[in-house]
Amino acid sequence: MGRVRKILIANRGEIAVRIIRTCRAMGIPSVAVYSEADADAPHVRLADAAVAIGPAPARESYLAIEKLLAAADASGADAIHPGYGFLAENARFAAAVRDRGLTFIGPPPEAIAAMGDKVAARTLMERAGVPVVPATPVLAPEPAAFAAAAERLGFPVVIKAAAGGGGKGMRIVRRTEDLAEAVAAAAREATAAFGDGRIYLERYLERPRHVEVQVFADTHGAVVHLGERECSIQRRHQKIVEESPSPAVDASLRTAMTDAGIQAAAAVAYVGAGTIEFLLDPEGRFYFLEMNTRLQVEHPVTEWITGLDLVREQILVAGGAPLSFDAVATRGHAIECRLYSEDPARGFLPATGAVRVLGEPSGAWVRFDSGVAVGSRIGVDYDPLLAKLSTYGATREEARLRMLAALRETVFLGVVTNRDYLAAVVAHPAFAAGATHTEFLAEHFSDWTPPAGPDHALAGALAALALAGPAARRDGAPDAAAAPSPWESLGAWRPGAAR
Amino acid sequence: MSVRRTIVVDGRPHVVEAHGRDDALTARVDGAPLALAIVRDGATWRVRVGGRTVAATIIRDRDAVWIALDGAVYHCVAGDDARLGVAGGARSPRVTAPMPGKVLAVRVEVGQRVGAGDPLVVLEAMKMETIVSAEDEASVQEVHVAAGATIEPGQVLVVLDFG
Repeated sequence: MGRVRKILIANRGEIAVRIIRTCRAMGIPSVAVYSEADADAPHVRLADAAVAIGPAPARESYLAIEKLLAAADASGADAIHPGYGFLAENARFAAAVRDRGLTFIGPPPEAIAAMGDKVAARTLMERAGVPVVPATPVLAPEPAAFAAAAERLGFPVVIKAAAGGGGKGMRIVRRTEDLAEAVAAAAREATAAFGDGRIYLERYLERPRHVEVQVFADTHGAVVHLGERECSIQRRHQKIVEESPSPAVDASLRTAMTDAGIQAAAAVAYVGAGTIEFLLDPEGRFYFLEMNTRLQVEHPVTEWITGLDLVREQILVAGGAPLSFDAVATRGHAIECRLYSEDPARGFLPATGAVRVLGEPSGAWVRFDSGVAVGSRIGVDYDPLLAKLSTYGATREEARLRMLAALRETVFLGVVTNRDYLAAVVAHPAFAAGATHTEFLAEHFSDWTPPAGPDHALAGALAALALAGPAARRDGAPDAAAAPSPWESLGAWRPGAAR
Repeated sequence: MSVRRTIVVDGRPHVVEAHGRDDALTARVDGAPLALAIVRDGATWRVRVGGRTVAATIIRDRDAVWIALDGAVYHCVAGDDARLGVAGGARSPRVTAPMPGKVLAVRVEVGQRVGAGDPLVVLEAMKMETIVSAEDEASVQEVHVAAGATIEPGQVLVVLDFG
């Protein structure tokens, strides 16, 4: 291991863009990889070099280990950053990278494997003195086995993928009669998402908060924490709003949770950036959920309050350097919202289309991490994450109000997004009060419908006029004339306004 | 110019009429009058309405129109093509795909009886599964898709008989 000289990013979308930006700031050449669906994607344009790795389906491109290794060889990269998702928590990939004489910018494969098997990880954590939620070992995917286990643990229960993460393959079950379909679906989803269909059962805690601890370790034995993040705002176990610090964590709880996080990382001889997820119950008891052995989607909120660039630290640690910091002082508060191409008005169905106009928010203490640009086609092959918007403030309320203003500036035309849903969540009095838990959306937003905009009737009239003209291009592709700056539609331009 | 048609704005249908030229238009939305003056510059329209002037960004995508106006985004669909823009009402014998994606599994056969909530077809898009279920007790009349098929939103999956 030595200093990293050229990095291949084995990922796509906003995280590939974000990693390439740090490479540029460090003066390290970057290599993008792309599937046929992503030939014109922003991460390809931004990187110093780009290698085509196959057809759109991830299995044949972003998950194809041999193709990625060949791309590294062909481009002369000596290190691979896996981002999050895809192969980021695949121990076989990390080992293959190492065996090829390349640097894997992440933890050792042994640590990934130890935490990747969620059942083995629980046992390991119990032994290390970290509190865990009652659960079964891996069960055969038969309704009878699950029914018997559920009786023992007590309903509600949650079916989880042993190789899981990010909510894939997860199903909450409240009645015995619903177990059969849920077991089958969870096993199929786990197989599709991770290539590993093993599932198990866990007691489901009602209304806990999701609080996670960011840890960082180097190859010289140092393990530190970078505070906690709260990610309780989840829909179908997918986080959509995250923040740091957690409004529920005071100094003594923070000490207890970060100590447990460091213990957990040390137990697997961890190296690099990692996250220990806990469920925090209303009484202030916390339970180990899992460890994510990679950079998290929501890492920007930690970057805001610590002033660190976590990707830079990952690259330095992977090159063998000691941590450039020890105990980090945090300040202020940061909130992140995930913008997805999905339709809240229609049950959050995935929305496809082409981005025809993109208004990116900016200004003081506003950060927009985007993986798309005008012209990007949003297909069905990948996660629907379009961009992450994060804001910072001296206080939580300041960050929250800044988020609402920035969401208003965020305009996507051509693809339906969850923007207005996010704004409604951040504006909700319970969110403003910090009264968040993992059932928050189910409790406050289960029958939410988008409110009619103030200029609803005017929009209808303008649409009728637009449709009365000759049809524009029928392929739905962006045309140059139809891609103006959307700033003008943000409400600031109002000469001669008489109100 | 003279226009009269149904426009579904974010799922809500409106009858829109408009007469005149861009610099002096009279529109009616569900009967309520709206006096407009418009200067078009590509996708940016400067619109004078009710004593204020706003700039709207307007993009047409076949029979749909996207409008960004004063921080709000409106998705408008022409009435005749509004099927996808309006939330479903009464139970329909033709069970359609709510989203684009792939058919993972077909759970029913022609002639089979199903109960309310029974799974008919399992779809997958963007790595998440969605189960399309029967809205009510019915018998399966036709099955139009097989596992592995790629589907478009609105495509008929199964036809039921609620009788």
